[in-house]
Amino acid sequence: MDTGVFLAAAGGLVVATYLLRLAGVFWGSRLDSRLRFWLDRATVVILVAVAATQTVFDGQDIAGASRILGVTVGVLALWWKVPMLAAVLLAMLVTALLRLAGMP
Amino acid sequence: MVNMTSSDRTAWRSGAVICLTLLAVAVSYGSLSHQAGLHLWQTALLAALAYGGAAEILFVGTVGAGGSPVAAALGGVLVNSRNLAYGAAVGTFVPRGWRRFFGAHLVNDETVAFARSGTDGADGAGRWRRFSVLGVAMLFCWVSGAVAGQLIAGSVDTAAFGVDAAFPVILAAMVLEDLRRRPVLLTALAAVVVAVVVTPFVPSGLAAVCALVVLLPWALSRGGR
Repeated sequence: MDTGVFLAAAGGLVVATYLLRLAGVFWGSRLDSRLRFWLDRATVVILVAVAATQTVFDGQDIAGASRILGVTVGVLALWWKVPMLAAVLLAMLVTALLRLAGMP
Repeated sequence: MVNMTSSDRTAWRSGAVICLTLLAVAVSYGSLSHQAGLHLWQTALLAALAYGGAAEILFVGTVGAGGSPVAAALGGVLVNSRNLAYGAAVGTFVPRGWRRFFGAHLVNDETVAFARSGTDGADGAGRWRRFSVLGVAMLFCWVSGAVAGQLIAGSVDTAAFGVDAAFPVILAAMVLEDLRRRPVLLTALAAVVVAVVVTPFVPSGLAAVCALVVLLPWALSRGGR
């Protein structure tokens, strides 16, 4: 990645993230509970939406079925309280085996 | 030396599991970063300074999909915004002085949860000790794992191992406990539908931001509660 673009974008992320953490440590107890609630909800929505698009798409093209099936198995495993490390490895295993069998 | 009770030992064992899991996530983050076209120094610098797994995977994933760096940074900041609330919890036990500035950098999901566990949970010094030890150990695992992942990805075909299936599951694991509450689950499912439907039509990286519209009817009907 181009150094200038990286430094600008990553620098923004790094500085904003540190200031959020620092603000929390110093003034977090005075934070409005409704603001906290909506930040929390927005975070869940964004993370879930990113997980979905990373599963279904490669850029803007539909991804192969092997990854979609592997991720589905991994998420179901999480739902049934399989530890994260095991669920991640399971998703990778299913995807890898389907690819080995020739699925795109 | 500190005398350890059996409950403390259990706590430290779970800390070790956290580090091991993080190491695996870091390796996959490093390989994703390699595919996204980041240099090794960029991966390592981002890992050490942003120090937020989900935000960084979001960042390099967006850039890797050809999305705008601005969208990638804004998405990462939003995901990291929960650290504001976590920081409030840490502010109750972090010592005064320079340690506040150092401790702030270690605020994340796991360190805050870990600080609250154990028998000396009510004692501020015990919380600070657990928080800071795990925070530094996780930082070490995160950066070294990311570097290892990038080096491995340069020489191994990661697609054959299904590494691309790891990231969505990692992200799902971070919000899974929220999803067990029905209103959150319904909102999340709506967000999935919106994000998937709009992806072919919006600039890369913006689909997840578009998904925020699902909060709108909820906000209007429940008056912000």
